[in-house]
Formats: sequence, structure tokens, C-alpha cells
Amino acid sequence: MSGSRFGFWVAILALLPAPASFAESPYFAWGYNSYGVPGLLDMPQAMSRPDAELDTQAFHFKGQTRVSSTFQVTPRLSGTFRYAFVRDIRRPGTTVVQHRLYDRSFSVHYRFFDERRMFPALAVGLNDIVGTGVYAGEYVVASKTLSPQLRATAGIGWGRLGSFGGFTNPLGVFSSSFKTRPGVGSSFGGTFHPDTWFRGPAALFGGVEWQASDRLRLIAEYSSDDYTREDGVAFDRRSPLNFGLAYRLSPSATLTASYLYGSAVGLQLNYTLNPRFPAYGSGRDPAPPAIVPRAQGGGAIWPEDAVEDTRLGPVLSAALAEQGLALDGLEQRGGRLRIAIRNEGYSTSAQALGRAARVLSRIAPAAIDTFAITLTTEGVPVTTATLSRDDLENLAFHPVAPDLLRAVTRVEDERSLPPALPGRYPVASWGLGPYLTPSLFDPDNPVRADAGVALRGRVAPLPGLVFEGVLHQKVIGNLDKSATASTSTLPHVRSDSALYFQADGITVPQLTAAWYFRPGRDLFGRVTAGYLETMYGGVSTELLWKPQNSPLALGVELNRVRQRDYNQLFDFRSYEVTTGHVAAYYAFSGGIHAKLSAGRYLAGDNGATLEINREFDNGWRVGVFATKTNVSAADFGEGSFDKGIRLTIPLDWVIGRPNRTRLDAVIRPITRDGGARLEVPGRLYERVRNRQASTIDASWGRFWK
Amino acid sequence: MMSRSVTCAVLALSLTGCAQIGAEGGEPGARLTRLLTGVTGSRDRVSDAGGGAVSPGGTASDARLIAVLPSRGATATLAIEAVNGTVTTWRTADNVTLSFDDGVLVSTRGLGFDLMGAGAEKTWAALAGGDAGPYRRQYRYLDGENHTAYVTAGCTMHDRGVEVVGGRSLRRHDEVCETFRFAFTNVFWRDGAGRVQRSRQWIGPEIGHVETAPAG
Repeated sequence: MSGSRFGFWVAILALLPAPASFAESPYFAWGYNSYGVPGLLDMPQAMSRPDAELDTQAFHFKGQTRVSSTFQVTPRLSGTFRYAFVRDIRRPGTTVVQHRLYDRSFSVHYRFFDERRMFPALAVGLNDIVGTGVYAGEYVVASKTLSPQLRATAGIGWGRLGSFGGFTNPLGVFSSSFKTRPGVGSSFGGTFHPDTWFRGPAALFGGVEWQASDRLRLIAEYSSDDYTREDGVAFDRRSPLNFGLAYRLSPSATLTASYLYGSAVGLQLNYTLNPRFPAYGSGRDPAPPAIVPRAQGGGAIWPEDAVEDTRLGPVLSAALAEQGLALDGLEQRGGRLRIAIRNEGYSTSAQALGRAARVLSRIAPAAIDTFAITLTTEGVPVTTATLSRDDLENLAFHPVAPDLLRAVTRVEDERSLPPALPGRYPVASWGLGPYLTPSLFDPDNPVRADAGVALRGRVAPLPGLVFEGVLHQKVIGNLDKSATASTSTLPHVRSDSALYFQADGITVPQLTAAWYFRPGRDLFGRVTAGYLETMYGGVSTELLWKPQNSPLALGVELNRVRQRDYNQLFDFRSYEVTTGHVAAYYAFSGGIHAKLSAGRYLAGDNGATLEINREFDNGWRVGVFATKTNVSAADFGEGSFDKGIRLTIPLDWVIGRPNRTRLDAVIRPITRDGGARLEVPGRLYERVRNRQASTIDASWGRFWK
Repeated sequence: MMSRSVTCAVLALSLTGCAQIGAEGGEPGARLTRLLTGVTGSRDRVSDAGGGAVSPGGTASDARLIAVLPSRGATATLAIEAVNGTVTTWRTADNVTLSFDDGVLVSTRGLGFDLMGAGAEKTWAALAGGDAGPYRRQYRYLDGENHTAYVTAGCTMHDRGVEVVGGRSLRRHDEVCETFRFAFTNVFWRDGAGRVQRSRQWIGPEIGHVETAPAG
């Protein structure tokens, strides 16, 4: 249920001003086709969209509605997730008409050759690589820019894209097995069928695009899709020729109208955004307090002979609070002043350090010449940054201040805390607000959700010890409406989730005590006990090894949990399990982060999960994950194995103001019992990594913001 | 008294809220108030410069600067927040700051697409020498991924002679700059003592220029 804020961001994105436009390279694809793939109308083309662009679109044509989202993963590779509502379609190879079909599918498009002066760009793509095969089709396509306004595309397709005007597969020269396309054996969907790719009859398709004006693009294409399963049922396919016009409503929105297959009008609306280009640039953060050199009044509020003053803590605490930073403790030793802070204001630690340093430059007594700032999480130290007051004063307006200051700033692992500010503990807070718990792209219903009022409270009596609770009162929702009861042959560890949302009264999704600690250098520990999540309670333990600057981190998590009662209060059901994983995290270059974990899952099945994310230094994250355990596809049921898409959007990127909230959405087409993982609040990796040198350095320019 | 002024100072970093509370004296609270409102920092400059002059160079504690952002249709009055060497930082009531290094804009905050830093030395040298060029100026920004991005401009300085602006005779200097993707001109109007009294200076491609003039 980690996507409880999903609906919130959907609402916000809809209101978002158009992102900053940027000069489009002439090599970018000019649009997306009806499948959400860089393309013409129904056919693909060979170019790619700008790196990191995220497209969301809806297409409707004669009984088919395709909603898709495409991410340009690298400059050459894009991936598309699609949810289609299809009416009146024949079952494959029969005349039996299915009146309603919800289909989820996934496409990839890879440009393997760039356009040259005399040579076209080339790309290969696969539609529907893990779905049930409704849209299964593969292609190799070439596109050439003939003039800045004119492009031509020609390609060869297989599967759906080889169904009209097909001829014997030319790949048959390599092996006769290419000549026939085998049927998809499994009825569970959700798995790869490489034995069908590029098999069977092939056909040619093509088209031209004319950029008539900055806003208007005209498209004509010859389609190789025969719509065999829809023709004569949903509509009459009369012609292979499609015509359309795409009109750019704004830099981010495009409306496409088309006349398809000599039969009917199709409409498509695209909305794009790019994580690299926030609407408000580096953000409208209120200006930080100016650095005040000692020569011009920095630290002059204290009498010169008062080296230590008990009022320093409260004064500093109030000034830091003004900057969204909470002071946990401080320690003055000779000319070195060390403070421990909680960053409650900024999504990057670099900016928190910068703001703290600025406040120190104004308030720290003039005798202090070294500032040490310890970043903590739940009161536990992670990192100390040490910088010289002289450097801070002298570099404040240096043209290349970031590089010069970083060179003289030490950022290192920290295990000790300065003495706590008198009266700092216990730290208590609470909040009352709305909540939204969505469940998206279910096989039966694409959007289900509960909404209501949430009361959250937390008390930290000591650094590292946190008691936390969440109460929910549902106001409206349909998460309890599930078409069918679970028939899973595995223990019902997740497939009964609808039963947990039937209660009309107050529920307690979380009630925990957590202890965070530093067992050793580069080591971080956590023990959490209580009602951990909606469906499970028990004890969760975690140990993480994550050195500063290391791309590699290793973690172990071990949990003993029991299934909670459906009413989400304090009772338990009988199912109990020990679940846990060892995990390796690795940060590759180019913002690619991978996590491989192996262990035992909630249903007692053993296996491994691979997560691959592309992360941006501004906090955006787009990724995929998949879990394979020793549960067979048949026992797993629809979907064959657990997989999904993860999207994280930092709220400050959206609103252009300092904010630490990250909107996290997990799109898991089908939640089943195999490969299911426990949700535990407060997992260590992200909170540690975000306070360490490699992450601080990636956003170091924000120190000065 | 002390706790009241401390609280006021730290809760309202704005220039207006606390200025009258901080009485002279050795109390940390009072001095903190002055520090945070930037008064202390500029007092010395008053005696150094003889007071009175009002320019982005920053000389008087009660000085006010009018800044106009034509691209946003915004006008604001700024007061001195702090002085650091030759750089004076001016702040609006709604927490936008502009920093000028002896009259040359080197930094903005609170605008979004802020100018994070810029060099001023070449511009000073060119102002001192009348016509000059070509020379390079470097502008620093933060991009949408929090990465530092530099824009280098090639500039020439042109002495346009004396103009009467706002009732004063000021010498106009045009700094004509070109980058890979943009062209812009910074205009400085200087008084007889060589201080920048008015200016029109480039912040960046998204925001364009800021125009500055002394208030009143």
C-alpha cells in the first residue's frame, strides 16, 4: 500500500504548469502512436523521444481504449506500459466473441542506428512482451528526415504487424521455425514468449509525416495490421490507409485526430513531462540567510569573552527552525562547533547543510573557526560534514564556489552524537489529514481506492527510539469490492487483501515501536515491532552496510510476522511466517540503481527480486521490478510471477518549494500470493543513502541554494 | 525583552518586522536582531563611505533599492541584508535576494532559475577602462537535476557617454554579451565617483533582466 499518495500526485500533475520547453533536436521522434510507442498513427517509426521524457496518453477508436505511459529510459530505449479496454474481440483462432476484455501489456522500442545524412535511423521494437498477447507484434523500422518538415518511415512487422499483406517470413532463411508463429501456450499471461517473437508471416508498413507548422503535423500511413480479431465485430476494416493530424496544444500536450482503416475516427491525447526539466527550475525556495563574515558582524551577538554561552543552543535552534532544520544537540570544543540536525525542510541533504552553515556563520561565536554539521535520521547520526568558517565566508560569492568549497569540506561517517539540547527529548508530533489508498490496473477494475481521514502521531523519547501510530477512518471507497474470492492454492498472504478494507469503523494500519542504531562503522541497524502494515504484525529486524561513497551496499532483513485480523485492529489470524532477505544494492553510472534481493517471501516461497531504477539527482525515480520464486506459474495464477513498475516524484519538483515529501507509486498489475513481500515502515537504505557523501555530492550545487 | 527580540528576530528574518526592536547595547538578543536584519554589517560601510549614496554597491543601512523584473511584471523594494567584502546582499520582504559585487549582479535567490553565481572582476576592469573587450564572463546556474551548469559569455564594454536618468547625470556603459545560445546587454549608469547608481543586468535566459535604481 505504498502508493497511498498516488491519487494526490495524479491530481497535482493535472494542475501542473507546462514544463520548461527546450530546443528539440531534429533527431527526436515527432510523436507517439496509438500504442504509446514513438510512431505515426497506428504504426511505429524509428526515432526516439527526448531522454527521460514521460508520456501519458489515452487513445480511443471503435471499441478500443488504450491508456499508456511511456518512459524514455535512455536516449535509445523506451518502455511503454499499457492498459487497454477492448470491446467485441474474437478469441484467438476462433469466431467466439469476447464482449469485454481488460488487457495490460508492455512494449519496448530500441533505436540501434542513428540517422545519417544518407542513411535512415533504425529501430527494433516488441509490443506486448509480457501480456496475454492481444497486441503481440514485433517490428524493425527505418525513418529518414527528408527535410526539416518531412519524414518518411518504412518497416517490416510480425505478429499483429504482419497480419495484412503478409508474406513468408524472410527470417526463414536462417531457420524454417521462423515461418510459423506458435500459439501462446500459457493461459496465465504475464510471461515472456520469446519463442513467438519475429515468427510467422511478415508484412511491410510505412508512412510520411509533414510538420506543417510549429503546432500542426499531418500524417499518412499504410498499416500492416489486419485487425483480424476485431474486423467485422467491433468495426469493419476497409482500407490499410490511415490519415491523421496532430495538434500541439502546449509544449506538453498534443491532440491527435485520425481517420483509421477507412472506418472511423480515432482520438488521442498525449501529455508529456520530463523529470529533467521542472517547471520552476531549481525552485522558488525562499532566499537563504546571507553568510555574514566575522569581519562584518558574524557571531558578534555574543560578548567577546563569552566563549561558551548556554543561550547559544536556544538561539541557534530557533534560527535553524526558521530554515526547516531541527537542532538535536550541539557541542563546542575549542574553535570547533558541532551541531546535530534533522533535515525537516529539504529534499536534498546538500541544501540542509548549506542552510545550516549560513545560520552558523551568523550566530556562532567569533571564536569558532570550524563548523561540523551532523546529519541524523530519527536522531541517529549518519554523516558529519566539516567545513572551515574562513572558506565559507571567502567563497560565498566566488564564481566557482561549489567546487572550491567541496574540495575543502570533509564528509565522513559519524557514529556519535553531541550532547542533546536540554529539553530536546521527548520529541513528539502528530498530524490529521486525508489519506488515499489506491489499487490500480487490477484485472477486473483499473481504478479502485479508499479515501478517508488519517490521524498520525509519533513520539521519540530518546534518539533512535520512535513510537508511531496511524489511525484511518474510511469515508468512501471500493477496495473491499473484489469480483471473486481468492482461489489461490498458496496461503492467502495477499490475495485476500479486499477483506481488510471492509470495516466501516476506525482501523489501525500501523502501530509500532522502532529502534534505530549504529552497530559499527558504516553499519546501520533497525528493530521494529508491532502492527507493521495493514495485513501483518510482528517483529522486523534489519542490518545495513553502506559506506560513504561506496556504490555497493549490503543489507539483511529478517522478520517474524503473523497475519492480522481483517478488521485491522489488534487481533491476529493463525497464519505465521518467518520472512527475510539478503540484499545487494548497487549504484551504476548514469543514475541506474539496481537491487537484488534473495530470500523467503510471505507465502514461505523462496526466490529473488530484481529492481532496476533510473534515478535523477532531483529525486525522481522510474523503475521496474520482478520477483521469481519457486511457485509455479500455475500456482501463482494470472500474471505468472510478481512484477511491476515504480514511480517516485519528489513533491518539491512539482511545487517548486522546499518539501521532503516523495510521492511513491507502485503499479503492480496483479497482486497475488507468490513473491509477496512484507511492507515495513522505516527501511534503512534510502534514509541512510540520502545523507551520505555520494548523494550529497550529486546535488552539491544546492548547498548554495 | 531579550527573549522577545530574539524570538522576533529569528522568527521574522524579514527586514521590516524587527528593526525597531533592537536597541543598542550588549545584549545578545538586541545584537542578534541587528545582525539578522543586516544592520550591523552595513554600519561600518556608512562611516567608510560617508553615507548618503544609494546604489547596488550598498552604502547606507537605511538604503533601499528598487528592482524591477520586466519578464514577471514585478517591482520590489529591497533593503540591505548583509555585506561580505565587496558584495552587498539586498532582500525583499518576500525573501528574494539580489547580491551585487560593487554594483555588478553576482547572485539571486528566491526567483527560481536563480543566478547562483557570477564573476565581476572583468566587468569592473572594463568599466574602469571605458571601452574594453572582448573578455569572458561566467554565469553559474543550477539545472533541474541539481547539477551546476555554467554559461560563458563573451562581452565587450562600450562607453555611451553621459545621460540624464532620474534627474541625475550619469555615465552609461553597455556591456554587450553573447553566449552560445543567447545574446544580452548589461547596462550600468555610474555617477561621478564611479559608483553604479542604476543598472539593467541579465539574470539568465528564463528570467531575463533585472532593472535597479535607488528608491526615493
